Amino acid sequence: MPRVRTQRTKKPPEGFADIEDTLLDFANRLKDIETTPHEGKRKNESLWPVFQITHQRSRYIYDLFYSREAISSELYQWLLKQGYADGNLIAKWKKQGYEKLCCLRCIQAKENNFNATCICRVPKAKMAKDKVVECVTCGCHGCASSD
Amino acid sequence: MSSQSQADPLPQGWTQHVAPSGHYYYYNKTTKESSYERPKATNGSIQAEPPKSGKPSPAAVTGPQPKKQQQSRSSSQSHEHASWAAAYTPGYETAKRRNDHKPRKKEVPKLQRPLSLEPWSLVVTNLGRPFVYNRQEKTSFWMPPPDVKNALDLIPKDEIVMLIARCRGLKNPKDGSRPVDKETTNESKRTAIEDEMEYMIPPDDEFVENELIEPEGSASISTGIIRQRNRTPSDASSSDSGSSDDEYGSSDDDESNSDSDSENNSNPDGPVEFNEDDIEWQIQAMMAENNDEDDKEEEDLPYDVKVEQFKQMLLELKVNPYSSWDNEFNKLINDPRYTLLQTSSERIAVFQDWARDRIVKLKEQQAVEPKITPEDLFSEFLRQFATPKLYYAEFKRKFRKEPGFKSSRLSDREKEKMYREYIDSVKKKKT
Repeated sequence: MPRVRTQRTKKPPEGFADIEDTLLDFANRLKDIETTPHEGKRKNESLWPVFQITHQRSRYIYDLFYSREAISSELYQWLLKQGYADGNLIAKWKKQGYEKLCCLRCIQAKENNFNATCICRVPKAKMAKDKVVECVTCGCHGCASSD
Repeated sequence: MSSQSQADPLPQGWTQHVAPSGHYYYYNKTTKESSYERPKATNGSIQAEPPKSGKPSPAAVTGPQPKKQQQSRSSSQSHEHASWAAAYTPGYETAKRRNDHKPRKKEVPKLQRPLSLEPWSLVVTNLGRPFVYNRQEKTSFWMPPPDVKNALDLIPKDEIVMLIARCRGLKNPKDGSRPVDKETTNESKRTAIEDEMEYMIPPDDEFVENELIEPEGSASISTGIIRQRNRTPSDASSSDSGSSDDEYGSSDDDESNSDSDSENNSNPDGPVEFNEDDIEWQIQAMMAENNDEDDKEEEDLPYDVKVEQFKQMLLELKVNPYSSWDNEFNKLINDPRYTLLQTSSERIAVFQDWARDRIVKLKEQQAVEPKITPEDLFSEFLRQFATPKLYYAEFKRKFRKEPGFKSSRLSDREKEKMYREYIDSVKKKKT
C-alpha cells in the first residue's frame, strides 16, 4: 500500500504526474474490492483480486522503468519506497524462471504441505491437458515462464 | 438422401436441383424459397418448421441458392437478439450490415469454448457473433441466462475478442497454442487435433456437412479440422474424448446423419471430391465475398507493416503511452487494425515498444516548448484573485477550492511566500 500523500509529505519526483492517473486507477480498483460482496466465495477467493491488482501495479511500474524507460530511476526508487510496487516481487522477476511470478507466497515452499511451490508454478506442458488451475493463494492460472 | 429424394412427388412450384457439392436442394420458383430439406406436399414446409426459440440459425446451409432462405431465417432471429449481440460484439453491427447488403454470407457456428459452468460453452459464429450453448440439453441462446452470464464474465475479454477475430477469418496466431496451419499431416499431430476439438463446434451433422462444403475462400480453422477428421474417421471417433462424440450419435437428424456417413464411406481419403463446377463456384463465391478481401489483404501484409499500422492506430486513438495496457486496450478493440496482431502478447510487446518511442518524442517536445512552471501558474492565479485586504490564511480559506489554487504542485509554504511577495509588490505600487 502506498503511503497517503498529504500537504506535508515530500513532493514526488519529476514525472509522477504522468503516471498519477494510472496509479489512481489502480488504487480505485483496490478500493472497489473492499466493497464487493464476498458471499459465495471462499475465504481465499475474496483476496485474490487484491493480489492480482497489486501484481498488475508492480508489473506496470516494472515495465515503465525497465522496458518502456518512461520514468527516471529516482522516481522508480521513490515508487518502490512508497509501496506502489513490490520491490521484492520485482527482484524475483529479474531472475531466470521467475519472469512471470504471480506473487511471493506462491514460491514460499515451506508454507505448503509437501514443501513444494504452488501449483501455479508448474509449467502447462507438465500438467494434464485442459486442467484449469487456480492457485489458492492468489487465483493465479499459471505463472511458469514457459507458459 | 438419395433414397428419400425419390420418395414422394414435390409440391407444386418446387423443383429439385443439385448443388455443386452434390447435395440436393429444392427451389420454389414462385416464392423464391430454397431449402435442403425436401418440402412436403402440405403448405410451405419451411414456414411450417418452427424455429426453436433462441436457437441461432441451427442449420447453417451453404450452396448457391439455399442461402436466401437461410438468410431470411437467421436475419429475423438476429433482429430479435440484436441488442445483446450488438452490445456484446463490437463487430456485430458491421457484420449485420454486410449481411443485409450481401445475402451470400450466412452464419455458421465456428469455434466453441467451454465455460467454467458445465455444460455450457461459448460458441462464436463465422460472423463473429457469440452465443451460449448447452451441451447437455442442446439448446443455445443469444442471450445468456444470468448464471451463464456470470461464467461468461470470467473469461478474459481479450480471449473473447481473439475468438471472435479468429471466427471472422483471422489467421491463427503464429506462436499461439493451437497451430492449425502447421498440421499438414494428421496422423503425427493427432494430439494437436484433439486439442483443437475442444474449440470446435459440437459436430451436429448439419454443421459437419456444411463445413465440408464451405467455400475454400473462407477456409477456416474448423474446416481444416473437420477435413482431417474425415480423413481418419476411425481415429477421430476413437480419440474423441466423449463429449463431442456423444452428441454426434444422439443427434436426431437421421437424414443428414446417414448422408454424411455415406460420404465418409465413399471417399475415405478426402472429405468431398471437388469437381470443376464446384471449384468454379467457389471462385465465384470468393469474388463475391468482397468484405473478406480486406481481411485477406491484411493477412498478406508483412509483419513490419502490420506493426507499423498498429502503432499508427495507437497514435491516432490517443493512447496514453504512460498508461498500462490493461487500461488502454479498451480504446482499441473496436478498431479493425486491432486484429492485425493476433496474440495479446504481441500487442503488448508492440505497445511497450511504441510507448517507449512515444515517450522519448514527448520529452523532446517538452524540452523545446517553453516551460510553464507551477510558480508561473500560481502567480497568474494571484494576479486574478489576490487583494491586499486579505491575509494569506483568509485568502486560502476563500479560494482553496478554485482549480488554480488546488492543482498547483507548490507546497503551502511556498504559496504563502509567493502570496506575501505579491501583496507587498502591489502595496508598493500603490504608494
